[in-house]
Amino acid sequence: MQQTENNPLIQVQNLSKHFARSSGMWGGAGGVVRAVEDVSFSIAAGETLGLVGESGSGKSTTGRLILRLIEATRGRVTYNGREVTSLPKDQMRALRREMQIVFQDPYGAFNPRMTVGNIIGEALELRGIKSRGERDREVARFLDMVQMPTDISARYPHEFSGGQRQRISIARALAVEPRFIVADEPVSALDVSTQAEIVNLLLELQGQLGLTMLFISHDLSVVRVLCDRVAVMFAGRILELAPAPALFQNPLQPYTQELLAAVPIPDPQRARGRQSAQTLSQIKSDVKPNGAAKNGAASLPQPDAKPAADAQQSQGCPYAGRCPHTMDICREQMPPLVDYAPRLNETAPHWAACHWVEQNINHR
Amino acid sequence: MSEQLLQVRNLQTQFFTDDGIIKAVDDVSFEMARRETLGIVGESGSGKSVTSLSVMRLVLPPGRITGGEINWKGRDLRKLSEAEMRAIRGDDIAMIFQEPMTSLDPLYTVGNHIEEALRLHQNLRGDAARQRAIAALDDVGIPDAARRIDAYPHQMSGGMRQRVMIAIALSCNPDLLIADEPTTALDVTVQAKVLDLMKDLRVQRDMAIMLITHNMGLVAEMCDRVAVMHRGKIVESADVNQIFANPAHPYTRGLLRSIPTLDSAPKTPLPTLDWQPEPHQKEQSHLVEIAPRHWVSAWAA
Repeated sequence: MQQTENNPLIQVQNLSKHFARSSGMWGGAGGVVRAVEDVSFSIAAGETLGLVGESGSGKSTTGRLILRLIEATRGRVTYNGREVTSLPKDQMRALRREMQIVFQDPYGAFNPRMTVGNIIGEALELRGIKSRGERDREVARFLDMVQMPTDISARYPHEFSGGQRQRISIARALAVEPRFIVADEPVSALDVSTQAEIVNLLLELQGQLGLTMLFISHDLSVVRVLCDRVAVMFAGRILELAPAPALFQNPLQPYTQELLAAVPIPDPQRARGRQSAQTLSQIKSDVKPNGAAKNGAASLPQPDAKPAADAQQSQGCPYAGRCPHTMDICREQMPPLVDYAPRLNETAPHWAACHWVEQNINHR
Repeated sequence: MSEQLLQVRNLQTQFFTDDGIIKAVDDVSFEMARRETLGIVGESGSGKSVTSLSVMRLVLPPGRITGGEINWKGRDLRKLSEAEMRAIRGDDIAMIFQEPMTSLDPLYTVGNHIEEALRLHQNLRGDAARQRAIAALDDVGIPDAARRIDAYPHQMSGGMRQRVMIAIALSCNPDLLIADEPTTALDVTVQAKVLDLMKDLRVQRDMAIMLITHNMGLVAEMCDRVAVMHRGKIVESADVNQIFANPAHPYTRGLLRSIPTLDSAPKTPLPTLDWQPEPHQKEQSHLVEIAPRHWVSAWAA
């Protein structure tokens, strides 16, 4: 893990992306949505970093910012020592050969009128492969790599199942021989059997090609299988970042704890033994019998609300509105990311941003 | 033994396409008792959703129910007129789907939706309907229901919209709620809360739930009984503990093994699931009882 700190392939520093909110539509004034706010991490060569969080947490935006598919508001991304965020367009195009993305819905990512051979061949052209013979050989090589029959070049994406399309999409990404891949929920839309196959394929590619990967997912179980380290995002911020074993066995941030506790356990004995975070009766205790909220609707902690816009704008921790341990300071000040590994006797850095952890960690 | 609500016998639903007949539901039988939660599990194409749509008689052409009985409290739903069937839907059996946004009309408020259901099924109008609608939203844990009732669907989060769908479905006090992948589109923390809500409401309303899902984790959390479907057939059914502890069918075993969990070994391939029936197994696909209330395809018994 020393290497992670010293020799990163990807380095993200204080990355932010603010979107202008369209005014009027929600009945309020305009303003900015801080989709990604002050995010920093690094990924070592050959490492897979998992980026988890709920929808709207900014995890997909972070992936797109790194590839400069959208432009950052602030912050820096370096790839192999070169700053990506300020690179001129032509140099960026050359760099795209080394950085690829795989999406959740492989069908939406293809031009339906292109054959499989052309889809992969287009990627090969980026490598300067022009001759027919070499192109065909390379298409076959990458189809074989993703365990697809090599004679499907003349067929179209719609002729294949979801899992097969995801394989083709991975073959296309690999065809430029990238060193770094952003995989954005690549198995979320797949059936159980296909999901297992694609997870196994990604594991194999990690080993075979030594790929460096940012694996974006809301499925913590898949992240458990595929990732070396995991970053947990909430409302645009990283709240915890640790090696996968430490994060899964000893989650520090209350939000990480909530996420892990919410994953259904496929074991009826254990599933029924546990109490989920908030029951209906608890939710309703916050509501007066006449339906009016105790503290006014604005401050009512909603059972599954997105972080409120004003909470996001404020200085405090974005999770304060939902956190079971919220203190006054949580609403006033964003806690900094602190490495708790020394205090936990863990060997690799275990970052968490949380006032409650800071105050209680010595009593654990 | 509690009261039997639903008995499905040898149900067949087929789709008549240009490429031939697809046996989406092929000789499926199961029962549901009051307060029971039955999980129907399978991958896409297994026929789990078509089974639930058949019970509601909502299969659209080119699909058609071609055989079997659907006995609801002793009446065969297949023999009812469309008008009688409309009365059953909503009043007796209600349904919620995966994506609440597509089931809600963006031009109508949440209150409009619930009040319409109350008008059609309970003949409630005006202030009485509004008060009942507010109570229905309150029942599903929507804070500040008296104000939220005038919100439009797009003003709510996904979890809140699914609560609204549940409120609409439950507004007429059905005895059976069919939930087709009700939490698949939701974040895991929201999913946990919607599941808790469904568990609470099942007890409060004395209701049965048919949960259609591909997620064995949800089955473990929610269900009393489980039916595993593969290519239009139930290949195994049993009490939930039995299915997880002693799965008898190779497809069930594969399904259980190949799901990643928080206990999965890091960086280790998942067992894959590639079972397909052999010709002799297809001939022996009828279910036999290998233990009390534990049924499996005859060849695997």
